[in-house]
Amino acid sequence: MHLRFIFRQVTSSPRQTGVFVACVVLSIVTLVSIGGFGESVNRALLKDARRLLAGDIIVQSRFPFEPALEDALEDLATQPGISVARTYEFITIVGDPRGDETLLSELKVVEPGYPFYGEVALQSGAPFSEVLRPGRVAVGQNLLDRMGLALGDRIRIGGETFEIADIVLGEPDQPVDFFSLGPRIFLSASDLVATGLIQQGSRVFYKALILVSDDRAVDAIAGELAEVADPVQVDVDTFLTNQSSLQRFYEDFLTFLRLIGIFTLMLAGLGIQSSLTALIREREETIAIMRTLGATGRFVIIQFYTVAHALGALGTLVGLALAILLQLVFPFLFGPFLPPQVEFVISPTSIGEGILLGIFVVSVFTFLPINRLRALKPRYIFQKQSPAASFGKVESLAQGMILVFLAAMTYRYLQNAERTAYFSAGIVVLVLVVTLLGQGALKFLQRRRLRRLDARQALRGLFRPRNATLAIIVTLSTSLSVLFTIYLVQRNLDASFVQAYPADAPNVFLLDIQPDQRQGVREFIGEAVEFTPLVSARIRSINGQPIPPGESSEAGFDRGRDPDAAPNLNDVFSLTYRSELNENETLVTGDALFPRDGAEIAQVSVLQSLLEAHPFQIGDQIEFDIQGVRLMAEVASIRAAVREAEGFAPLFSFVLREQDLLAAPQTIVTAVNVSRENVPQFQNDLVRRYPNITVIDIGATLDTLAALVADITTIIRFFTLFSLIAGVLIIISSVLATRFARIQEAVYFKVLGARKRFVLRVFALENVFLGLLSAALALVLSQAAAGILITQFFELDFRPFIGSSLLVMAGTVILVTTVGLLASVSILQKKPITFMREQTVE
Amino acid sequence: MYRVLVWLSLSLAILSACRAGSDPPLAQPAETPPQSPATELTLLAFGDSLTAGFGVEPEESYPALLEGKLRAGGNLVEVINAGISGETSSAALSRVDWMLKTGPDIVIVETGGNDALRGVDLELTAANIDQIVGRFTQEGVVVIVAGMQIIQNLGRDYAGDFAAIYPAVSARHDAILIPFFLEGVAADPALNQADFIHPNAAGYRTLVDHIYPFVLEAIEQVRNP
Amino acid sequence: MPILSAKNIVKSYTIGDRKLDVLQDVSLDIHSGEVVAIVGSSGSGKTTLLGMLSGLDQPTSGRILIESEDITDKGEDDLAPVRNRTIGFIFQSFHLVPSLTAIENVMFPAEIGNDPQARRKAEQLLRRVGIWERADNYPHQLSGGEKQRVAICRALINEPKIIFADEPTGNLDSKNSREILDLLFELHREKKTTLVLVTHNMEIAGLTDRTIPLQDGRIGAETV
Repeated sequence: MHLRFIFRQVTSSPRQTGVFVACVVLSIVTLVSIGGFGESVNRALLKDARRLLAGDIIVQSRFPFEPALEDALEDLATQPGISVARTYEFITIVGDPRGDETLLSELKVVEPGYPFYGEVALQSGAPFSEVLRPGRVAVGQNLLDRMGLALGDRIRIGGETFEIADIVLGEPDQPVDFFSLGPRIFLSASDLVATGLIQQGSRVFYKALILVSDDRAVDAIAGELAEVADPVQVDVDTFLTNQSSLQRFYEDFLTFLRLIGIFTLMLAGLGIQSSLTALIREREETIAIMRTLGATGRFVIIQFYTVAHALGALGTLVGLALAILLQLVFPFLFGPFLPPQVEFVISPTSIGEGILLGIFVVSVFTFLPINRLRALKPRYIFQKQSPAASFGKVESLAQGMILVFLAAMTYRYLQNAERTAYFSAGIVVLVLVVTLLGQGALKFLQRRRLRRLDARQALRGLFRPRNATLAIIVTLSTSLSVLFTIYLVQRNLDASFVQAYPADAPNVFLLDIQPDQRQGVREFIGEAVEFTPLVSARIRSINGQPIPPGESSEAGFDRGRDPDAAPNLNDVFSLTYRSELNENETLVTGDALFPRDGAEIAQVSVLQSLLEAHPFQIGDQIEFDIQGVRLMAEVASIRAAVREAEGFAPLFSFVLREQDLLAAPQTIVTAVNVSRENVPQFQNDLVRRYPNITVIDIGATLDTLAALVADITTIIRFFTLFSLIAGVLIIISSVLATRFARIQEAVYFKVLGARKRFVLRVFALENVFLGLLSAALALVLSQAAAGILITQFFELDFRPFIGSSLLVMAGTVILVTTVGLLASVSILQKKPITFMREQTVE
Repeated sequence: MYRVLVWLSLSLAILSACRAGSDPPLAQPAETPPQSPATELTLLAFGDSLTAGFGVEPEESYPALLEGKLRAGGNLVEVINAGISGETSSAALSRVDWMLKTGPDIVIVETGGNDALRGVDLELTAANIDQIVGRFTQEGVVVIVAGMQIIQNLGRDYAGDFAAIYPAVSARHDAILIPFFLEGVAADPALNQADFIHPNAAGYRTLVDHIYPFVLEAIEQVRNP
Repeated sequence: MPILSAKNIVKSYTIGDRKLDVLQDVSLDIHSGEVVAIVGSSGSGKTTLLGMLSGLDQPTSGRILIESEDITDKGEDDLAPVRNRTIGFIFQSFHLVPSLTAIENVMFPAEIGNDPQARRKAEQLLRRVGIWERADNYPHQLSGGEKQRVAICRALINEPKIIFADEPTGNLDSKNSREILDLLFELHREKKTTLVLVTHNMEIAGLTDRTIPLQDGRIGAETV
């Protein structure tokens, strides 16, 4: 080991060394902080899971618990370390004892102890158990608003009146309320009998929450309860089995972040590789001389491994320090997004893991460049040429190693073999495709003869003998396609969610408007409203052929939940009528929604996705059954619709003309925007005038959703920043890798009488070509990759964002060119003689 | 990962497309009327999800079972399933004219339950059902009013007022009254789906046995007015 | 009037705290059409002097005049037209642009000067030096002698007034050396260019009109 030698290697190539260390730092920071972030969120999620149940175990049924279950629960309650609390949830009509004002409300009757986890937030800030004493209730603000009551007033529930003691701001086991029919009321279980509301014929959601102090006993207890409970009517869940959709969402989200982390690792690795290659290239002469003086290949390799690991250790330490710093800042950055009670942890394990990771990263990614040293024979000193890059066993081994390493890391983070396999295969395919496309593009360019001297010269620069242009393009394109893909995915998600909830998005739904109430409702709302009529119908036959019998979709709700389920012609369809295409629709066949608008026979436009169930064609005759009345309709056009949340436009399988369906039984829905503070008044006034119309206020849900989406975007942007930096480092190291060749050319050009500007133009153009080629390749690939991700993984419709993509591409080219030029500025300032002297052996 | 959000937005979209309430939206199985040549009478089963047969296969819904039972008893009656899940009495009233196109001899009017589940003002419900029965009677259709009771937890006053609607309406129009449509079925865990509201297949069989005599009475009225 | 004139050239380097005088008060005049050899042993400062004379390097003090024009203080860009039109270079290590083929290397100075005849001229020159068949080869595909022929063509394409040749045969075997020198002198006779040779080889120096010996950074007695 030659410490001075090692020190020399580092100090004499500060740029390459800098990039190398920066790449190590980056990979460590990204992985350790995403790891820590994930760990924190996971811990919080377990807490959150208990919070969402408000207990460790929950037993729930719409029917009173049968005696065996009751006995089991009573028995449990007597055991040490176990507590049981019942809750009863049901709707009821509450009244103002002073008048005849009534309101449908959602009552939640709870026993002391509820909630075992989390808390019911009250406006007064007082503890829930103190407020909810017998004779008192806590209610949602909307109850006061709609009934014109105030704190301290009394309210009639069933056969008893209660004092309104506090206002409920939030409850742990129902963080977001999507389909509420009325305001929430909390009532103490000791008051339940007095209301007289639970009796034969009451529909109550019976729940028993169980607190188990010993986590290990949870599964066993839940198992025993499930055994005595009716398997159809009773559900038994634990905080581990009852994964809320919110938790699944967080987990999917972490997976996505971890994938970004792996990509960053890959990019940083490529940066490590190329900066080390550049560093070694500058040392080639030194090495050749060392070899001439009798140093073995082994000796040289050990020296450089030591250099690499010394630098790697430095990078790892800096990376760990930064990661710890980030952990400290996380709460301020992402506090609002995260589940409550996230504690940011910096565990010794994650630090140890970071150190190991640093060693692995450096070993894996430096293997190839350092191994190339073997090929550097002493005769190099006479030839002044670096050995040609070859692709042999060592290279395949190195790339195999990188792949195995990345796959192992992916598995380590995803804990899912299938996803890991997909991911690894994806990387291999990506690199292969980039290489093939890059080769093709280079071959094509090589044959071009450009007119302008500078452009031609720049293009030839790409094909310098022994130049690593292809390797650089592959590296750049791979990293850029990853970055572009993340960018495109993010833009698509933004478009689908963030922009789908603009401030003026409808926040109130009106359901069950009757046809003769249309005019009145329109006047009431006082602005342009769009009514959507709904007509329930089944299909009897197509072109005279009856629909083959088959199972209709089980509970109709599943179709709502999974819009990708294959359409089933046995379903009941909601037909509608209108004369225009919606904004999110396009015609697939036919030149208008109803080309034969004047036709006698009913005209129907079919949604394209229905073709999966039947090959509908223009002119086909569909026989609808609208509650026993047959309607023969002719297929007039086929529409495709973009599925997006914007405006909540529902998708209709069949659209007919107004005259075809006007007389059919229908209900009408509409969505309007009402300013948040006016919603209760709006609701009261409308219901007073049209008692049959149901008003659903989703304002609060929308706000929650919009905030969530905004936070997600911030977090993704934050972590994407790391891969962006990795990308820039790769560009820098690529430019540095060709620095020598550039210096040489610059000197020759100047000696032959070229001005600085000419040299500058040649360099700039060369970088432009390099950037343009890589960015174009990356753009094509990322469009494909993002398209697949968005349509397959996120199950949304893909938008290519061509304009923005081109802008990003232009930005990349500018970046590559600028970085390239910055790295070349010092070259331009040099007097040619300085370089010539170095090159001429006197 | 964004599935949840997708789901949320879609649910919201669907929500806008459907009638809310306790009954799930969009697809409700309904019975397929057999293409039987021998039909003497047409019976219109007019109602909400209890008629449509929410959560059971079309052939397990009460109109399908009723037709089978009638035919087995020698009554060649076609039973049309005109149930719409989640429908309120207001929507039901709006489609009476349309339903008359099917030319029914008998109608079983089963509606109002969804009004109560949404806390609709009962005066409106009563007026709607009254008009529905009135329209059918006016057209010479023999009307069977399916008496409903609402879940007791809505409150004694409300539940009582609700249950009183049906006897009053049937008396006013001299219609046949089934005092409680879900007699012997409601609140029995063995006969209901887990939602407590909708009968399962066994529940519908019990239900048909229960209403069968009222239907025979109606047939008798049609044959010997 | 001399085409190239150096007046009291001093060049010193500071390495650490040691000052090294490579050239000490060198003055010389070279006239149009002359063939001059600057000779000296290794370390005599002859290549450094060539660098000054050709404007690739700047003296610590003293002046360089080419065609009576003082180039001493000119910036890189002001020197560009001088390097392109007035001067041609031939180096010991050839210094061909590796990414360009033989003919492209030759054409390059003419193309910088926007000469539409570049290709024709380059072809003529390559034919003249007998390596036309190698025109589309890259430098690394050429032998030393071939490379130097390409370099000579490149130096000549803009018909410069002065050609500087720094040990032009230093990297060649004796047969090739002979041929390259013959070629240089023939071309000199054809084009009437001024030729400034730097060499340590007295035999080569003997072929020139005039020899300027350089020893320890000073000019010794000239021989004609």
